[in-house]
Amino acid sequence: MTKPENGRRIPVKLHRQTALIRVNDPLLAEELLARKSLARRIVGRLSPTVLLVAPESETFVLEELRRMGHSPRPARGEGDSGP
Amino acid sequence: MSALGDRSNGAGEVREEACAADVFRRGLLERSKAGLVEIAAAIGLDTSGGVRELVERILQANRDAASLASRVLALDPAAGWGLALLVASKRSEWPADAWREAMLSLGADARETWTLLGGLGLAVLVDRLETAQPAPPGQKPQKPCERPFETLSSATLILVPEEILKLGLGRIRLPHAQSTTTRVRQVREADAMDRLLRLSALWQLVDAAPPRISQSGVLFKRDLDRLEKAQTLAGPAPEAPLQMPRPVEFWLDLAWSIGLVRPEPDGDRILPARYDFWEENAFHLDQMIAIAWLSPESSAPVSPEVRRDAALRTALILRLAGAMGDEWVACADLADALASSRARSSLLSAESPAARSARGKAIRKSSNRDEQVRTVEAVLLEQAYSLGLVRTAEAALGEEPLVSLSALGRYALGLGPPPAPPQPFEKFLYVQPNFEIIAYRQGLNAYLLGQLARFADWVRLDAAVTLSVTQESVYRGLESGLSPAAIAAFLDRHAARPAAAAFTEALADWSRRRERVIFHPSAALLEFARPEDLEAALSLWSEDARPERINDRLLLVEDDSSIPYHAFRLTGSRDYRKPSEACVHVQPDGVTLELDPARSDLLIDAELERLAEPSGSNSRSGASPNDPGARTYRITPRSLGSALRAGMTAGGIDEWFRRRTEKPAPASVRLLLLGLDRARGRKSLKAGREWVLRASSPEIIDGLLMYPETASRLGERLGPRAVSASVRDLPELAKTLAALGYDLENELRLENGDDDSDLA
Repeated sequence: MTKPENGRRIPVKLHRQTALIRVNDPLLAEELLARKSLARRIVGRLSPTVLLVAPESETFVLEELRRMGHSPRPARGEGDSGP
Repeated sequence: MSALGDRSNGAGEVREEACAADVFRRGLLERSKAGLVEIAAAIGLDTSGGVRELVERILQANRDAASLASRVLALDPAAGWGLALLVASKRSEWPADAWREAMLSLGADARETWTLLGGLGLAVLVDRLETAQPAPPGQKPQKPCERPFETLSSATLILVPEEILKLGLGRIRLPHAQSTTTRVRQVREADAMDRLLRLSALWQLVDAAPPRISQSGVLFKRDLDRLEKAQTLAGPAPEAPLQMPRPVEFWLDLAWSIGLVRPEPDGDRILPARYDFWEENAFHLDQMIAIAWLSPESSAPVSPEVRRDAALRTALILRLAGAMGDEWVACADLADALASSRARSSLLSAESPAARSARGKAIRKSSNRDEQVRTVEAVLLEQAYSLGLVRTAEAALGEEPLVSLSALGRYALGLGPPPAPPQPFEKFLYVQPNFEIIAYRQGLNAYLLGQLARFADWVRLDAAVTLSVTQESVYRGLESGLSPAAIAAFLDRHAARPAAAAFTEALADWSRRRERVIFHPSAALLEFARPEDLEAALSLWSEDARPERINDRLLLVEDDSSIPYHAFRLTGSRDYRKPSEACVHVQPDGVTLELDPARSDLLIDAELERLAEPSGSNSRSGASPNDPGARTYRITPRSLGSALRAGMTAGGIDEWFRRRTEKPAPASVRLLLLGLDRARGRKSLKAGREWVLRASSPEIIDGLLMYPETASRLGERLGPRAVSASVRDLPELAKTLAALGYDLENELRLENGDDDSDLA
């Protein structure tokens, strides 16, 4: 890990505990947004493949993704539980 | 329920030890000084000094292992059994009622034994803190050692010094076995894997659908029914002498006690332990199970029936421990001993006649030989056998069963070496083309079983067990950290022949499908003012640990502890688990909303776009930390109409204003909302021409509004010195005013009958 070259501290805003869906294809993101029940819980599209999920909607969104036939992989190191 | 806390980890054990010693000290401190002097004298200590000095002297004597061992060896046999109960179950405390019941089963007088142990400083009685009842008003609380021993319940614990547990059963007198024999045939022992397979099956079932605990502290019936239908958990145990009546609750009780399943924090569900439970506990699992079974109490959500004979378990196992390794005891003889012990103890009991009479019926019933045989068989042939703690045989064909401790049973009690490990059997499984795995039990051990259970589901537990590999089971394995390559490598190492290509392709395909959608439940995002800042920040991480770029100003950091805060100047921080903050300013017109870039979050754009239209040069990529110009939005009838059609309500919009602007919805927004409220019909405003009469003082207006002939011709008061009047009434009003001595100055010089029609 290095320091910024000119010693200037970089201004940054930190967003903690955000819930995101990351897909490997923009078309898949479109497919998710076309699902009304899911779209209501998606409050932003941060990039073509990253969707911002409304807080406290994680369980619903995960279940809805599974109902759509997807198998979302929980990101490692974030809220691990169970086997 | 233990008064001494959780025993789950190393740090906890250190605290526990200190805590157990403190509780033992508390028990000694509850004794009178005379009682402490007697104890000190009995064990040859100095009897001078105060209570605290005497207590510390007794504790010090108990810490001396050599002295303690010689004192324990010299004990009366029954007192030795009393200690052996605690040592066998590896617990320094037992509920007083369970200990009394176990002593009764051993044919000893519990009260006398307690008196003896207490008199030597080897046991104390304490009330559990969480169940201690305050004394009635005006009465001194009665200490447990002052109460009749027969009346003590599970709210009181009998404690022994921790040091006694370290002595082990080998240095404590054990009860004599009944008549034994060494000539037996048909020796049978439970399959070493069966108990682990049942627990593993339960672990998978709990993971697939966590059962719920009802208000009464047991499983909901539908969950229990579901588990009872699972053959892998509740099916008959192969070649067991007797089948358990409640297998699901029996295994659940054990799984709960060893930490394989656990209660949901702040919830009512039962959750599985993490997959690494199997790796971490593979070596000691059998011993953990044995100790859990010998424990006199449990907090597991099972019906009391399952643990009805819990106190008897240790007593019966101790009777078997008194026999030599090749000696066998008949269940019937154990039952006879139990019946006579109970009958004798009832006669020796110092209970009141009334209490003895009430207990007599129960004792007589429990002294019934058939009943006792049934009880002994349930404990030994159903439970202890399935845990591998005892083995069975018969003296001759068709005779009643004989039992003895198995090698595992002796090891679990600390009376023998660990059982010899099975011969290595490396290639013990076959991967079938239908994605089933056949595994021979001889090749399994707790570690391999845990590994298999991560990515395959138990289907049948026959002589060879069958597992099924499905998309869901593979996902479970991947979620636990396995990769398709690791699964394939495991199977290659242990399979007698390589898996079909279709199998390995399916593993890879399922893995790829799983990578299509990744869910981040609690990611950290870093938002930069400019793309150049993001590029500069990326160089702060090493190549292999760089966060992911979301767009030209956002980075996704999976592990927020890796953020180099020293290189950053935080312009804002927002935790999305907390309620949203106010970050919008309302302009005086009430419909122009200005976003505060320093306080805004990623949700606000979506919220604003639902009820307002962007105005000016707004960006959609989120608020910028150093954005010099705040972004603005404008609420219009069209934008509000869209919000209402999308399901927002006037109340919801007002709540949004209060949350995001810290003020209620402005009047102009409420005006628009009222206009859009079709349910109340179209609103109309009335327009008309009216005169305004102004007076030099409020008193004149007051009088005009009160005087009948003027009041009837005046309209609404507009201020302290102004009132409205209809154009039509003006001539008459002027006449009346003239009669009263006032002139009306008509600035517009309008004549009588001028038009006052509505302008609307």
